[in-house]
Amino acid sequence: MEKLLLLGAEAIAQGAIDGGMSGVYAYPGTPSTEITEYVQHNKVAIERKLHSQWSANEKTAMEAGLGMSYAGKRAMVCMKHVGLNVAADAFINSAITGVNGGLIVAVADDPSMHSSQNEQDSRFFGKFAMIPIFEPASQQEAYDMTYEGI
Amino acid sequence: MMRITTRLSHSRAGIETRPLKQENKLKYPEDPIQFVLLPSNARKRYKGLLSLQSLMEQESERSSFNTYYPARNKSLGIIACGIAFNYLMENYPERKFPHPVLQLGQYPLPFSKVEKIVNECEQVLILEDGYPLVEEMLKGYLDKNSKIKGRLDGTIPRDGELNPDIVAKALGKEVKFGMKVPDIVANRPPELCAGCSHRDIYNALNETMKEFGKQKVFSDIGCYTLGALPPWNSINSCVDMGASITMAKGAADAGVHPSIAVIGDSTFTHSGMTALLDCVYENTPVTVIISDNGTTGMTGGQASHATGRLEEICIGLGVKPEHVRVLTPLPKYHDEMVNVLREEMLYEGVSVVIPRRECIQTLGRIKKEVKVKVEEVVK
Repeated sequence: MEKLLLLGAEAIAQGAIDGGMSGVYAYPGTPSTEITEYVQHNKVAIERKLHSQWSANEKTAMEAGLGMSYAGKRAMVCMKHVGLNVAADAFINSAITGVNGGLIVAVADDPSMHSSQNEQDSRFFGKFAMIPIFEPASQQEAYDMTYEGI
Repeated sequence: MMRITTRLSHSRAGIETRPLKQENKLKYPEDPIQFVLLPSNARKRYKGLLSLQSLMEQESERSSFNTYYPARNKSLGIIACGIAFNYLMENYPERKFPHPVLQLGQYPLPFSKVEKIVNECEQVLILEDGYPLVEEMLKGYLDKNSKIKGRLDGTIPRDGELNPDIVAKALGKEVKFGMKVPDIVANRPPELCAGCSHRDIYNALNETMKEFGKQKVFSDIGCYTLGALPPWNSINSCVDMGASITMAKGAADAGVHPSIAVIGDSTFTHSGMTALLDCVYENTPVTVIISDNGTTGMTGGQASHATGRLEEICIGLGVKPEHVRVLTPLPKYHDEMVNVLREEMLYEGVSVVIPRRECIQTLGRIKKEVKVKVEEVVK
């Protein structure tokens, strides 16, 4: 165990890596981009050859994450809030299929629209899909929730 | 689902890691049709999801992420969701809360914890970043005089990000965080980088459009959206990823001519390809400008799926090869760009113009990396 100084996004990535993730799928979008970039440069992730290449969009990312879960491995899918609109079809249906390996969808909302077109609240999507939602108050919680959730 | 907001994502704090787990081994699902959502199976699976709801709620009740902090002063109770709990702690250091507080970090809502704070307090303030989701659930639709306070009754602004000041104000405390921005600090809107290829494209487009009139350019999400601002004022839409091409198609169907889309290479492969196929299917007269800077620029220069295969994608989708035109967006080629844009706008079919020049930011980064490597070799 070690102490690290991390962005919230990076804490999620570290939590997923430590939690035994086999791959992350994502399309870049502020403020979620740093999650995947952290995995791309993490030593353990590189040694383990964890998947961390970018996807064409959030929908393909969500589906690939579900495919990795189908194969029994743990996966993470990352996007910004409006990206979840793109991934919504796969996201909602993945709650019905359920998972085989652990699957966590990390969504970064942008209230005040610092770099977005709206400030939609992704918790509605989680509730709509009827799946558990984690909402951290700190970077440590972001790490712990991802570690346990995946 | 993990839900975070900008402030948490982009701020730094110390964390303590836990033991590294092994990856799972490859293992097929026990039920071979678990993932087959044919209606007969989907109905079963949906019932299964519904039956899990009470277990999820029990998990929330037990969760250490949903913590109840008792306190004596029950004139007010506070429910703080996610990062809002952090803002509450800014106002009450060391978690010395005068009022009962329920920290919420895991949903669905833990019923008995929520019931407890609502029952034992005279009023309940809901602090949540984003929409008033918990507040709406607790308040209900008809209860106008509800004891639930938050964004819906104006205790907290209805829109925008929360912060410690807003929380302080809602609690009737003195606002003391942050410093006033001095008058000398001018508002500085974002702008395209000096040397950015989008600048040259908009200069050429604006000159071309002098002949064809205003308000015919649909755009998309990327750095080039800044073309909506002065000095260019070149574009008339930015809605969602890929919308430039399909909106240009709908406008062309309605009689706008020429109807023009401006989209970036990464946004094009994200959601523009199916839109272009719609245009090809009906041979709609649109001119699609795919500004190819070889990267996903706006988010910091991630690899783009379009790099090295943009023309092939467009031709593969059915755009006629003679109407896929590649240009170099530099001031010295300005006249050529205007001529090509003009020709394609006059063409009564689908045309794609690809001005291609590397993002000035990623180019600078690569040059720097090469320089460092050369210096290492020289040493």
